[in-house]
Order: sequence, then structure tokens, then C-alpha cells
Amino acid sequence: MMKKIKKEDFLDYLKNWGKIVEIEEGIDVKDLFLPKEEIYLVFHKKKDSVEQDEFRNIERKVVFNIPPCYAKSIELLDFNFLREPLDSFYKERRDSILVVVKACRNPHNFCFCTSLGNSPFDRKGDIFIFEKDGYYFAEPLTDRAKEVLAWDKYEDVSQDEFKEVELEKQKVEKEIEKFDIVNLDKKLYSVFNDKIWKELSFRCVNCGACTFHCPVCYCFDIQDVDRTNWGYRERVWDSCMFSIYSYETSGHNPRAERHARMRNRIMHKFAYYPVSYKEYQCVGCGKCVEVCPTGFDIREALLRLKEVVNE
Amino acid sequence: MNNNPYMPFKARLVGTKFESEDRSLKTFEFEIIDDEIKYLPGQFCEVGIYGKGEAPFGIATSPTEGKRLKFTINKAGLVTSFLHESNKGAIFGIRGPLGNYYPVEQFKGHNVLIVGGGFAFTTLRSLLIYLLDHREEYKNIEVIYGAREPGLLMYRDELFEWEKREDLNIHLTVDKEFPGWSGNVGFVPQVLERVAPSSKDTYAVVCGPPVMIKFTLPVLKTLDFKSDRVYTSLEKRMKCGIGKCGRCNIGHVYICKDGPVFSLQELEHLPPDI
Ligand SMILES: Cc1cc2nc3c(=O)[nH]c(=O)nc-3n(C[C@H](O)[C@H](O)[C@H](O)COP(=O)(O)OP(=O)(O)OC[C@H]3O[C@@H](n4cnc5c(N)ncnc54)[C@H](O)[C@@H]3O)c2cc1C
Ligand code: SF4
Ligand code: SF4
Ligand code: FES
Repeated sequence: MMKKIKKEDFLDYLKNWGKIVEIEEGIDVKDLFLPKEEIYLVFHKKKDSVEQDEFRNIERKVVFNIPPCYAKSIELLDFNFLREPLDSFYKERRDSILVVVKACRNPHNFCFCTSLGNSPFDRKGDIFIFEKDGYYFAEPLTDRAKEVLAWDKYEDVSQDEFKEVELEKQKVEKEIEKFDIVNLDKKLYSVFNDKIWKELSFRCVNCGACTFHCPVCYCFDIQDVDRTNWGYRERVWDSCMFSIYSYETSGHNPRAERHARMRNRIMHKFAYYPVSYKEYQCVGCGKCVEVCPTGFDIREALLRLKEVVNE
Repeated sequence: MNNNPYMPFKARLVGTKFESEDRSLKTFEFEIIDDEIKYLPGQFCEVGIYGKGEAPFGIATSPTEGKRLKFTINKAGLVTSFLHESNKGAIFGIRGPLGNYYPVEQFKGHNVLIVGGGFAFTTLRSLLIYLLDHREEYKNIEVIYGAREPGLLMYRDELFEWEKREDLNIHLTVDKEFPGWSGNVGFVPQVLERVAPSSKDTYAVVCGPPVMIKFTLPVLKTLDFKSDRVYTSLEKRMKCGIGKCGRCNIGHVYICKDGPVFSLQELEHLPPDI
């Protein structure tokens, strides 16, 4: 059911649910669920003992107006963080943030969501909305969305209006570059030792921007901060593109070489994730392409890999 | 385990003992305060020093020895150096048990061959004591354990006790002749070749430095050990220890969560990213 609700009314309902956060970038969406820096344990050292407390800083929020791809990225993060053992920090954030997704009508040059089987009009998140003349056409998708407002009070969008959404969807989908990478996952294993990885990583400077900006990359580090008699333990974002990421104290590093790290990044997304969860760990948002200082383009990389696996 | 897998149990250091003559290896004995960690041989814990960080270590005790946990730790970097300087009574945060364990259930009714080298003998000690404490459930137990020199063999008092036992064959070896050493001389793979244990009804567990593993596996192969009968324990840099932080993967597998114990057969299906 898609309801027609005045913009102000709709926003009031959302405000009642939690603090509205309007963000555009995937990096900020990820930051809401998996903060860049998250203190989770605070300790105080006494003479013969230590006191430790679990630390939480969780607030009810509504993340508003994000495109469907970023809602999809949250679903992909769920696979990792909600599987056993449950990541309780992530889970609590997930439960306290309502996700309101807006139909994406302005895709940019880097987008390729449709190549991954997604659509800029995917019904994702808790509520899906489409804006029209001072109204939202809104569709509740989860149980908690149903509790946000008395949906029955509002009238359904008309057939014409519904058609308009569909037409717009088709129009936007056509604007997005689409290529075929279905079934690439299994074939990637066969090129694990290929020279293609050197070719692909040739220009990479290991800055990690691609992974930080990726809404689905979630690697983190755990660090302690020590003050005189107290301190805390926190998790902070990390990147598999850094060589110290896998550096062992003995000096051994399984991914000391650049191409090994690029390979892991791409294979994690396009070969390993599918083994565990049957989905690519990429939503096709193109952010990594946009931010790379050396012009690494994951779309080109995937197409190159497709050529190589079929050779 | 706690409800929150990131929160450690508080543990008190109740004893320490140098394990090697060069003092690089030390065994630490912990008591979990008001709680208990239930584990099986092969599992590990993240041992944390409040303010310094956590690091993963295999549990060297067997659950059959009681509630206290021992770890034998090589002084290597930040956390391990602080540990080496810690005194009895100090409080630590321990998370665990983490990872899987040697398939001791599957081993029942079979012979078990344990091949170890250097300071990787920690969880092998756990396994061996566990097997000995359930001695009637297993057939022959054969152990080959080597170190560079006699002073680097760990748990020496116990090793010499085990040598006296009738229900266990243990072969200790050092890399080269050493004054006062009357045992085997030679690398672990060579001793394995000489001992040539039968692969019939036998499971093998191999842990040690990469070069030892590299030369041991072909010997096992000539002895006709099948890859689903040979187990090893892997190490990678770790942080979370619960398969979340992404760090320790080989292919889609996380060493911390899906391992650290794997059969060679399982490893054959993973990309060579070690
Ligand atoms: C499953 C497992 C069991 C282990 N068992 C033992 C053992 O019984 N005895 C022993 O002495 N050592 C063991 N290690 C290795 C031990 O974890 C490292 O030597 C230790 O992490 C070094 O920490 P550090 O802070 O002193 O070194 P630093 O170089 O200061 O390390 C900083 C951080 O890097 C990470 N790290 C670095 N190297 C490794 C590594 N090889 N493995 C995992 N994490 C690493 C840790 O998170 C550590 O806190 C084991 C490793 C694993 C994975
Ligand atoms: S396009 Fe790049 S940034 Fe976007 S999800 Fe895929 S890998 Fe991540
Ligand atoms: S953003 Fe580009 S240069 Fe930086 S790590 Fe990623 S691929 Fe390499
Ligand atoms: S240590 Fe975090 S995934 Fe293995």
C-alpha cells in the first residue's frame, strides 16, 4: 500500500519517532550504524582491582531521505553483524534507527546499482517515499514502520499517481549504466593467482578512501586508550587496503603486496561474500570510483575480470 | 560467554613461570573472577591488558585440569611485553573461549599422532592432557615434539614424565647435538620419517612454525595420511576474535571463528592467502 501524506504531517510523525538525521553520503549512513570511532568499554584502575563498564551512546534516530542503495548496504552489513555471535552494539543501533528511503531520481555518473540487480526505486528500509507536489507517497515496509503513524487514516495513492511512480522508475533505471556480472563470483577463484591483480592495483596508493567511503565495507580495529588511572577501549574503522592490517608480530604478512590487498578487497565483495550470504558485498553506489585519487574504477575492474575469467 | 562478546571476563594472574631457558617464553596462569570459561583443546582467548590492548593466545591447559587457564606466551610486541612484566595479582580482561577445537569426539576409538614444533606446543599440550585424561577412549597416542635446542622445549618437567609412561610414545628432538642431550637429534619431519607411525585408523594433529609444517606434510602423505585425517591450527593477525572485524580471513573463512583448527581437506578448498 502506498499512501499519500502531506509532507509536514509525515515529518511530524517521524520527529515523534526520533531525531531526524538527513544525510546524503553512504559513508555517513555507515557511520550511524557502525561509528567511525566507538568507545565501548571504560575502565578504572584501582590499587588491586579494575572496574570495567560497558559504554553505550545510542539515541533514537530517523535517517531520512537516503537512496535505496544505502538501505541495501545496511542489509548487507546485517549479515556480518547480526549473525552469531550477535554484535550487540550494532544490533542496538539498528533497533534504534528508523530508515526512510527516498526514490532515487538523480543518479550520478558513477552509479551501477542495476548491474547488481538493484533498482533506484527499490522498496528498502522501513519506509519508502516518493515526493510529489507537497506530498509524500509513502509505503511502510516493516512492522515498526506500521507503528510510526496510523496509515489507515490516509488515502491510497490513485492509480494514475502509482503509474507515475512506475514510469519515473523506468526512466531513471534507463539512465544508469548496466553491465552483466551475474555468476562472476565462482569464476573469480580460478584467477586467484593471475597477473590481473597486479594490473588492477598498479596505480593504487593504498589510501583506503575506497573502503572508508564504501557503505558496505566494515573492517574495524580495536584500540585501547590509556589515561593515568582510567581509559577506554574502542573500535575504529580500518581498511584492508593498509599493509599493517594483516601484519603479524612475527614479521609475516600474508598480504604484504599491494595486489594481494586489492585482490582481497575485490574477492571479498564478489567471491567470498556470495559464498557466505549469496549476495555481492556491493550495492553499486559508485562511491569508491568517485573518491579514488588514482582513478581506480571498480566497474572497469569487474569488466576486466569478466574478460580474464572467460579467457 | 558474556551476552556481549566484546566484554571481557575479569581475570587475576595467579602464577607465572619461565618456560624456556632464554626467558622468551613464559606461562601465565589465570583465575577468572566469579565466573568460568568452558572450553575444549584448541580454543583460544583474547587476553587483554586494560589500556594496552588485547591479543589472542591458545589455551595451554586442558579443561580436565580445573578452572584455571594457562597460556604460554612469547615476548614479541606491545601486549606480550607488558604481560611478561606483570606480577601476580594483576587484573586482566579475558575474552573466550574463541574459535573451534580439535575434533576430540571424532578422534575417539582411533590412534592420535601429535606433531609439534617450537612454541606452538601450547594447544597440543591441552590436547595431549585431554586425551590422557580420557585415555581409555583413544587407541595409541604418539607424540613427536621438537625445538631448536633443549632449553626451548616447553613444559619440560611434564615431557620427561610423559616419556616414562607406558600408554604413550613420545619422541623429543632438538635440531642439533647439544651437550647433555641424549634424545633424538634432527628436525621434526626427519624424526617423523624415522618413527613412521601407521596411518591406519589414525588422526594426525600438526602445529608448528611454517617451515616445519611445510616439510612435515609431505612425510605424512608418504605415510598415506589422508587430508581429512590431518588437522592443524592456523594463526593470523586478529582483533575481534569473533568473525566480525574482517581481519583474519582466508577466502570466506575467518580463522578466529571458523578455525583456528582446520583439516588439510578444508584448507585445500580455500585460496592460498596465508
Ligand atoms: C589463534 C592464535 C593463537 C595464538 N597462540 C599463541 C600462544 O599460545 N602463544 C604466543 O606466544 N602467541 C600466540 N599467538 C600469537 C600472538 O597472538 C601474537 O604474538 C600477539 O598478538 C602479539 O601481540 P603484541 O601486542 O605483543 O604484539 P604487537 O606487534 O604489538 O601486536 C599488536 C596487535 O597485533 C595483533 N597481532 C599481531 N600479530 C599477531 C598474530 N601472529 N596473531 C594474531 N594477532 C596478532 C594483536 O591484535 C596485537 O594486539 C597466537 C595467535 C593466534 C591467532
Ligand atoms: S560501488 Fe564501491 S563504494 Fe559502492 S558499494 Fe560497491 S564497492 Fe562499495
Ligand atoms: S581509493 Fe583508490 S588509491 Fe585509494 S586505496 Fe582505494 S583503489 Fe587504492
Ligand atoms: S579477528 Fe576479527 S574477524 Fe577474525
